[in-house]
Amino acid sequence: MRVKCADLTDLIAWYPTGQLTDNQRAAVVRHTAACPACRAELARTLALARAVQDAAVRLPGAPRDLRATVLAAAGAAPPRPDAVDQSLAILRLVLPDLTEVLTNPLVLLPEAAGRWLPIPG
Amino acid sequence: MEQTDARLLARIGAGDQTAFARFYDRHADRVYRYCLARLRDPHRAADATQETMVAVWQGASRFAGDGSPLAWLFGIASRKVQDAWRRRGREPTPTAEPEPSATASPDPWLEQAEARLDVLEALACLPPEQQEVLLLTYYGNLSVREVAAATGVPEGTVKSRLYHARRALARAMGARG
Repeated sequence: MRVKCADLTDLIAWYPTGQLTDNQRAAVVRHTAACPACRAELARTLALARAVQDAAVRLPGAPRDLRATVLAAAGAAPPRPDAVDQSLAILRLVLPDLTEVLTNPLVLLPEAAGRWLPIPG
Repeated sequence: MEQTDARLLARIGAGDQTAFARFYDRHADRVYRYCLARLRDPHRAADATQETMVAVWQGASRFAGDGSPLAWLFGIASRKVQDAWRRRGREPTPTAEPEPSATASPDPWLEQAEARLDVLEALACLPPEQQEVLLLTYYGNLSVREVAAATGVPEGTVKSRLYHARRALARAMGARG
């Protein structure tokens, strides 16, 4: 199937990232081999991507003393559990063991024990 | 054996400080350079990097294991960059010229390489969302889906932004060349 130039626009844009599938890369290579306009667009995109990457990569790395600061901050504050974990933690504090609740709901109402009869199965 | 980022994040979520130190060593430079390219100020970039990494420590349990750790990390960094602009009292505005602060008190990193400066200055002329998509794509090497996850916008918007950003950067670099 012949690929149209318009179909290649996004593939060419992401070609420099190495994130295309093998089939997508092959489509770009096949099409640009036969299409001078898209070949030129690919060359411009590769040059631009390289320029951005080089400019960023050549910037200095994180300051050396930042590591100790960050690790100290982490040591001072424990990770926050996510919302579900927090809810479960609260439930565990106020409720008896959840498994026990499921198997024996009367643990929630100890005063009802002996007064409620199980429903015959 | 080298642990994947996802595995490290799972351990960090459980409070493993050794895993966090390893994650920091693996990604701190990458995050700092991203923040520096966006903020163009080493001190504010360091602050944003610190905030990003502390957010990783505190929020690792919220990372969805089937997502991209890098997209998640860059997403946090992007929000910290926006916070830094907000604290300064204004959003970055695209300018035809380098920001006065960059010319008035140049930092060593700004003076080291003319070519690098040209690209970074050209980048600074673009709207923030175009700077973001260019850096996430060509520095972060993120896929369309990952950029969308990091920025919280639909994939179609990411594609459109990159399309316009590439042309805008090429024009800005040409104008300075």
